[in-house]
Amino acid sequence: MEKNTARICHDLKSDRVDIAQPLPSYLLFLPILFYSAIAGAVGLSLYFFLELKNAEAARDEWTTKKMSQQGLKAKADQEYKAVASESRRADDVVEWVEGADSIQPLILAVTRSMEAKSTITNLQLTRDRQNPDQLRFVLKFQGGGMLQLDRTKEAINGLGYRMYSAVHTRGQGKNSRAIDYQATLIRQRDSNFAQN
Amino acid sequence: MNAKAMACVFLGILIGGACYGTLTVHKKLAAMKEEESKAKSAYEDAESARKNAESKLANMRRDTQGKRDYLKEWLPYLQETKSAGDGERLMVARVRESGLTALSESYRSMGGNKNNAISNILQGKLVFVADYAKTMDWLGKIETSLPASRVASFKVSKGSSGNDIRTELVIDVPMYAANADAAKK
Repeated sequence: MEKNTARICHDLKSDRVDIAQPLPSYLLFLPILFYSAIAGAVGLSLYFFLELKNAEAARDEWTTKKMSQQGLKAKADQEYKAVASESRRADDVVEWVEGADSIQPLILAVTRSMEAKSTITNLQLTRDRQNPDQLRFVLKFQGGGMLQLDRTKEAINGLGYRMYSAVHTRGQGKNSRAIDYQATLIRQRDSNFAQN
Repeated sequence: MNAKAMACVFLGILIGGACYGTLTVHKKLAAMKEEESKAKSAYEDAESARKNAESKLANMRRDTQGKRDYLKEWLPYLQETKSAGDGERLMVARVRESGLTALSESYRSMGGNKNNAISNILQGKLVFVADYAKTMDWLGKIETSLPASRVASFKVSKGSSGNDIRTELVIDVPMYAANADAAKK
């Protein structure tokens, strides 16, 4: 058998002298390793490449979603600013309107509280610019005395005003019937919506 | 080194090259995965920030609803007098309608805080002598028809005859600035 094989080899290839040392037997695995490495590299690279494309698409999707969320946030921030600005304007208006109470009912109450024997000589209401809900009230009248003054004060209280820093003086002279009354009027409020 | 050994080295280099190429692609994949993870994290942050902003807006809307409704109720009256000219025309018309003859009548615009919604005030000073009932009627009408106006000062003294009274009235009419930059307060 060995003789036959040698003869076939002689037919294909002429005899030649080995010019190099034979390789160690474990290096017979080198071609197997080579083919495996090539196959593995192609397979893994293809898998990694597909994963890379998927990851890239996912990254772009997250970025788009993030931009959408940022857009919604910017819109909410803008609306917040608009609502806050409207709220501050409302504060200004509430502050103004609270200091813009109608004074006609107050004047009518004072004049109607006067009895026939009493006469108003001077009535003055001045609003404090810094605290517009405060009114400086000055009343000068003749006749009726303290009873008349009490009646007038009652009429003012009836409209929900409270009197502070009140001063009253009687006219000088023995027969003087004049009374000069000054006070700061502050309206009592029941509503507290403005504190919201 | 003989030819067989050279061939082995060559194969070894090719194997190494294949491994290196694969590792390079894997590195790119790892970097892209990290970018994806960062993008996802940024999205989650943005979503959380959006939710916070929307919650803040909802709270602000709820907390200021009363005030804003109040403003809406008053806007038609405030917008009647957007400028000093409007206010003056309105006041002059009201005085004429009343039939009262003013002894003196002057109007001036007073600047206020530009950041305030009531940025300007038109101040009208009127002096007239008229019947008490007519004067009270007119005062009531002007306070009703210009509900946002504010009587700054009202002085009454006895007139020269009968039921006549001398009235000195200072009235402030607000100029509403819808675009007041109250944020600068």
